[in-house]
Amino acid sequence: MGHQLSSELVNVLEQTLELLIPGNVTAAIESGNSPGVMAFLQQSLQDDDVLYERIRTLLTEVSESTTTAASASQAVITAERLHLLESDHPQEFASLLRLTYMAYYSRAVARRQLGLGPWPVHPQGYTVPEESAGLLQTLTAPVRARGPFYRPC
Amino acid sequence: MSTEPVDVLIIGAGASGAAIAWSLLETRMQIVCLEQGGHAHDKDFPSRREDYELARYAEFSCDPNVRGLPEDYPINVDDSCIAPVNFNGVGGSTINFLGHWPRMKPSDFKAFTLDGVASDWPIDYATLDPFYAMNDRNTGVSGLAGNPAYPPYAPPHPPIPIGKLGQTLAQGFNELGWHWWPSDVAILSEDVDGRQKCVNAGTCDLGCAAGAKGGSNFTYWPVLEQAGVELRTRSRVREILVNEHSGLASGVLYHDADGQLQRQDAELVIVACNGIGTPRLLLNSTSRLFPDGLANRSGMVGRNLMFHPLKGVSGVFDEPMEGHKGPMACSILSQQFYETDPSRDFVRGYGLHSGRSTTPMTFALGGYGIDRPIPWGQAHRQVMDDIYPYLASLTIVTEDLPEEHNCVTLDSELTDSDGIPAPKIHYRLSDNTRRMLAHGEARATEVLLAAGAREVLAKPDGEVWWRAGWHQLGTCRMGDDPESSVVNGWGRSHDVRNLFIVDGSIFVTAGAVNPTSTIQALALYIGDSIKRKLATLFD
Repeated sequence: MGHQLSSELVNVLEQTLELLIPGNVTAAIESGNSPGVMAFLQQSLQDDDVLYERIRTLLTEVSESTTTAASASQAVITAERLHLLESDHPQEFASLLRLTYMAYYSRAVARRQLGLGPWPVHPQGYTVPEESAGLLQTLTAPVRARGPFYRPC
Repeated sequence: MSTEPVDVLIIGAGASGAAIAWSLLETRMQIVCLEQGGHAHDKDFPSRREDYELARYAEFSCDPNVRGLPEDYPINVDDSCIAPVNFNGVGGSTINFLGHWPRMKPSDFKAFTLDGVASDWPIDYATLDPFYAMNDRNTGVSGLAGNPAYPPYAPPHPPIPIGKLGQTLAQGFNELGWHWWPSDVAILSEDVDGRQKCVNAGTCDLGCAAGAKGGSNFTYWPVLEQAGVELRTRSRVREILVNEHSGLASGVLYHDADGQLQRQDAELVIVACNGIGTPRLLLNSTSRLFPDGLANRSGMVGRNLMFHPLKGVSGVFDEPMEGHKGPMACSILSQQFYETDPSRDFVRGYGLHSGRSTTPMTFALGGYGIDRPIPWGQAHRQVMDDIYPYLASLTIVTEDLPEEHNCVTLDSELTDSDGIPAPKIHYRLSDNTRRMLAHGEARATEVLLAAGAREVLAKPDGEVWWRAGWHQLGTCRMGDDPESSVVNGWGRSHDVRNLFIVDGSIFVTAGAVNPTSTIQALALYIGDSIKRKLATLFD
């Protein structure tokens, strides 16, 4: 059994994820607090002592600063609070941000929402139409018209 | 330990080791190649996985210090603004290179004569021309004949699509009357010999599961193994041995897969470990005859390290550029500013390479080579929704001039998993390069705006890309003078007559193009020279 965040810190992390990668309701793009992201983060922290300590420290500080006014379950984290945290703990914050981006964008659904194929890119890949000989001829005509373009030596 | 000598011992199964093995096949000599990594099987390449992007930050990172696999050696980069990147395995860095395949230009071989800087090569473009062509056929190169920036030649396969992104940028170059051309690429535009044409997956750096990219794992090695070249993987050479009586290389000591030390004797030793690995090996090979490292009487082993310092400039367009479709780096190339122009405040020049955009995770983490995440919060949403899909980028690829203080040495503490001292890089940008980069940024901005970009984005801090050390050149340079070079004009060590070097370390200057095409052409040329001089090879 590796490292596990307490339920209180999981709650803080969920709110943090929402702020780090906001969703886009109009485009039906999920926020960072989406299925799979938390699981990825928890899995990553489980066996990595350094990473776990960094993230735990960060979340604990958020938690402590916000629960002075409210109980842990009601604590509300703001973007301003996260900005302060980023300037106070740049290394720890950078670790969380990097891990969040990796977790969020490694999911097929995130690629689909951004217009990419959700599939593993092999073997299907993507279709890119070949330029016709005529189009290439037209595009390169001004370049060819200049003649040889290298230093003789 | 078996010490039965072989005819030819090649160290390194990457681009150059494969090419020279192929060249020497017809001699019927017994050829053994020792490779510290294993076979990279295309069925295991990450692009077949749903979370393929994660591999870029783990086992398929281009940075050996991130991968940290047993076959990798660590590199101390504390004293460098650019980190070397590579891949260790059969195919070497052609496993994760991007396949961009421009040749060096005739003037690249004459930098001293033409511009009074660096040194001339002991060979010229015309000498390499037939070997470029030979290698293009073996590799399966796609491109458009008729590029006026070069003497005439024709790539063997038609060009790959330059796509909407390439067409858009091309119109910008045309608007300004500047040179551009569809890139020559070691990527198939049509099916050839069991290799599939490119499927435009955009994951060239994760191995090419289609076999379209001409890594030597797909091109040379299947032929070589079929023909009887013995490839010993998981075999890391510790040092090259020297016969103290004859002064010739007698073989090597290497660690096998179990870490056990083995010896392999050979009549001819060929080093093909590229610009970091080769000087590292020579500096680790000390003896009474060569107390400062093998073949290092000139003191030039490890010196004159050249990269291609890079910066990127991106344009944001009104329509999606579909940059995730197609090979990562290869669409079009401009050499408008490649040659020296006395009216500029720098000597030599640079290329403007189109970059297709990366996949979302790589972009969010800062783009390829940068590794600095984009903003979080509402700014993140805005960047991903309003900028990322609309990007087309140009990379400024500058010529790095040789400077002795830029070098590879041995680290006093760091070692690989076999306890062999690791390399340390000492590298800083020259003022010439900084001026070149500034000029390139301004020109890239002009062309992006001419192509219709509504906004241009560039890194504001003046830094070059951190993981830009793909091209590791110059650290055992060739030359006619044994006082100032390590190998002669056909790759033979000045100091050890049966020791050859065939990789990027023998470059005299770097040019401003991706070097693999030239590295392999050089290896084929050296192989040809060996064949022509066999009777007097060690004289």
